[in-house]
Amino acid sequence: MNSEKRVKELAESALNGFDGITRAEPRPFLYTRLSARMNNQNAPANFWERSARYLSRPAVAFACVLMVLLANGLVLLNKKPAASDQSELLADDYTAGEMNTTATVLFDMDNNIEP
Amino acid sequence: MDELQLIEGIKNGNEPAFSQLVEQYQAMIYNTALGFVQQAEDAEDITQEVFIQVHRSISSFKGESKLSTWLYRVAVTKSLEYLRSKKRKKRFAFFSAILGNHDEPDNTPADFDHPGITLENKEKAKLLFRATRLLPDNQRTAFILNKTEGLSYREVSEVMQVSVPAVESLLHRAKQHLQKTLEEYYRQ
Repeated sequence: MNSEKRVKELAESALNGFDGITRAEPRPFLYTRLSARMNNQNAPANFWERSARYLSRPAVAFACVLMVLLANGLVLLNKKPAASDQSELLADDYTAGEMNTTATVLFDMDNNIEP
Repeated sequence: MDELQLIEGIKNGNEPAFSQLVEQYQAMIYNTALGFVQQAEDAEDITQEVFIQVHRSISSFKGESKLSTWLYRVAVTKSLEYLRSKKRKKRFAFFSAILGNHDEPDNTPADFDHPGITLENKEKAKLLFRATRLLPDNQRTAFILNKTEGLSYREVSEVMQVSVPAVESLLHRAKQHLQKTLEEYYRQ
């Protein structure tokens, strides 16, 4: 542990740590690397790159997610419970069968024809 | 080629003019970016981004300030943007780590060894660079431009587009902040 006076001295000395600093230089041939990067950026993008760039726009991505959620919501809202579906279908078939028979019987009775 | 000819040349798509601009100012921009990001590869990446930005937007340069002032401004903006995006990534990495994803380790070294620091100041400069990471953006900018690039208060004020007394105040507060951080380090 340093004394408080010593701490202050050390901190003040460290504050002058940049004295006599000289400029750092980048690695050689920066312009060559820069030109390559710029040419690469200027190259026309292919179909997939353009599509990916378009789809990754926040507005487009958000709209897609919203549409999927809406579609899911609509499907869920319109869907009837599976068990009642089955029983309703059976009931419909049964009623239709009954009605059909009854109708035939009534028709036949009205016309006095044997079924 | 003087500054005006250089700017006109770049505006007209003259490649040798752009090449000369890069040769002339690359060390200045690289050193500024290095002061902020404290990582050689990232500083070079920022340097390239600065020149790409300059190439794209040279037509918007009206010549109201010196070319070097404008370049410093772009370099500072890009460096601060880089640091902000790194902070965001760190926050995201924290949540990824909770979810068990450890793909992107942080590449910032604990101690940064600037190649332009004199031998007797190496250790002190490492501590000082580490302490600058805790400064607010405007204090950090003023301190780096003044101390690592050797810009005068007036030049710093032109880059930061504030008054000279504002720069003095920023530097005073930066030094107080750094002194406190360094004292805390030495107390431990």
